[in-house]
Amino acid sequence: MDDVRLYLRLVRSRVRSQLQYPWGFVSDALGAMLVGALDLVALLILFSNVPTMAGWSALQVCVLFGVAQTSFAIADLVVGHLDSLPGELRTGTFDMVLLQPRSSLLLVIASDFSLRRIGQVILSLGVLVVAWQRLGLPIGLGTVVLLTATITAGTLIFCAIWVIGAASTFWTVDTMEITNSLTYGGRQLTSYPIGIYGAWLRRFILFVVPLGCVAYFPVRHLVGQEPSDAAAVLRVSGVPAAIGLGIVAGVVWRSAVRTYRGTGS
Amino acid sequence: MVTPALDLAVARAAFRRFAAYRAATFAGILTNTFFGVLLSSAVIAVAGQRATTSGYTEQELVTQTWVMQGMLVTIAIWGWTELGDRIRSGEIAVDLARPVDLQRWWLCHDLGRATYHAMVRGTVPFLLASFLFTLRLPTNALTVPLFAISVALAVIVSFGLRYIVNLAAFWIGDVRGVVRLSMAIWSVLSGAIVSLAFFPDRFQQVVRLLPFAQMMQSPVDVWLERRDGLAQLTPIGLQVLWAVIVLAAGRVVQARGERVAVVHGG
Repeated sequence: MDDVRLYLRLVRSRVRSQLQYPWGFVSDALGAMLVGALDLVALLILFSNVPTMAGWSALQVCVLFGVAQTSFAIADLVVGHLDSLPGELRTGTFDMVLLQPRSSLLLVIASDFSLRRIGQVILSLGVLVVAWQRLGLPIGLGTVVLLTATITAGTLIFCAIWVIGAASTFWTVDTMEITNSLTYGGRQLTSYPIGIYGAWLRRFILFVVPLGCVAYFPVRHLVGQEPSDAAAVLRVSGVPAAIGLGIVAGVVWRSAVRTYRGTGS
Repeated sequence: MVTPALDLAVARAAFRRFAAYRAATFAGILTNTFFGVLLSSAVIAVAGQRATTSGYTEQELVTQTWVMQGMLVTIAIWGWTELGDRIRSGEIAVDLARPVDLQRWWLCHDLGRATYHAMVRGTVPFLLASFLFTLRLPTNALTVPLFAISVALAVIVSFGLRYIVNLAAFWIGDVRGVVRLSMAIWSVLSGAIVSLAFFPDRFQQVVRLLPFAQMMQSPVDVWLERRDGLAQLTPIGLQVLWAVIVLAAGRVVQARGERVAVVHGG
């Protein structure tokens, strides 16, 4: 609980400082939203050419897109700052983090909370809501629970991948871009029905990096794309995947921090 | 003071600056390849349903995806704030006091950087992709040098635009938001997110003439040999035209910016 309070306090201070330059913040948030909208623009342009993709209509893909991108956007808001960890390792400023008697991961994440990233969360949720309404899908308690669980699990999966990737730079320093291909790439990947991918890539995202569990299975059930012989348990496959990956991320981070040597200056 | 020898020295230094990070290069290649696979899958899911899209075959559009992956970092479309940061911090005063032209110096620096990125990230993902997909290679040997020229011009147009955006720091201080905003618009209008071939016809005709398309779609069209014989030179001519315009505009903006330059501290 103490850690949570500390986290919130640090975040509040970051938010206040970012609102010091209102124009800078507005253009920043707008820019972040537009960058977030790029994937949507790409999707809509592609769909302006054909009625369906892998058997899914544009609106059905938009529901998938909304769920996957919301998960990603929340993860980006919370841990996206890990992208700059390699810089701290290279210059040795990570020393300061280790001097504090608190969780090193918590301090790194809270050290720069970019409020502008909230723009993308709003945009993604908006896409989900609009597509849901235009499809005329029913909304009930079960649906809300499934959607909430899916988005939460998806967020956790993205966060865990981010943490594992960032932790790996304790050994390699310059390879953050590989992590980016799984985080930012994961956003692109999970926004489309996995039927469009080749067999080996499908296996990779189901059994190696569980990105396939982020949104696809529950959403295909919700929009009526689920084959009748599919196992219902797949719809919640994101939850165990998130828990498993979360544990792995914790272990990897701890052993990574232990290898930190500083820069000797 | 300003000589071709100096230009070359600046470009070389920039080349070495980026070549120093080997692990980053390796990671970048993997990233481009992974994204290329994802985007190709989406392109195939659409283009595979029809014979041609705006006259492009599925194979041509997949090839475009990979040429684009090679060019993204080369033309540095994802953001450059180095000049803006120097303006904000006041270091620009030192730069302007140097007996070299600021724009020319940064252009040479950018060309040196781009040469390195083109050599490594422009080639390896494309080679890797040729194992996974059937890519279209030029049928005319002359296309290859023509493509190289077109990529160089794409870098110059992209640099010219990025330079102007960075100069906004003279007025607003922090350019990161503006840079992000412009990148978002450019990456759509250049065809870097999805090929312009997927755009609605009317829109496409206009967008192809804008400077943004000169950063991406024009070189791609040269590689795909969309035109025969001398007509191949049309996209290149358009690129030259826009390169001149954006570089000249950059000089005008810079001259105005210098008048309002603020140097903090003592």
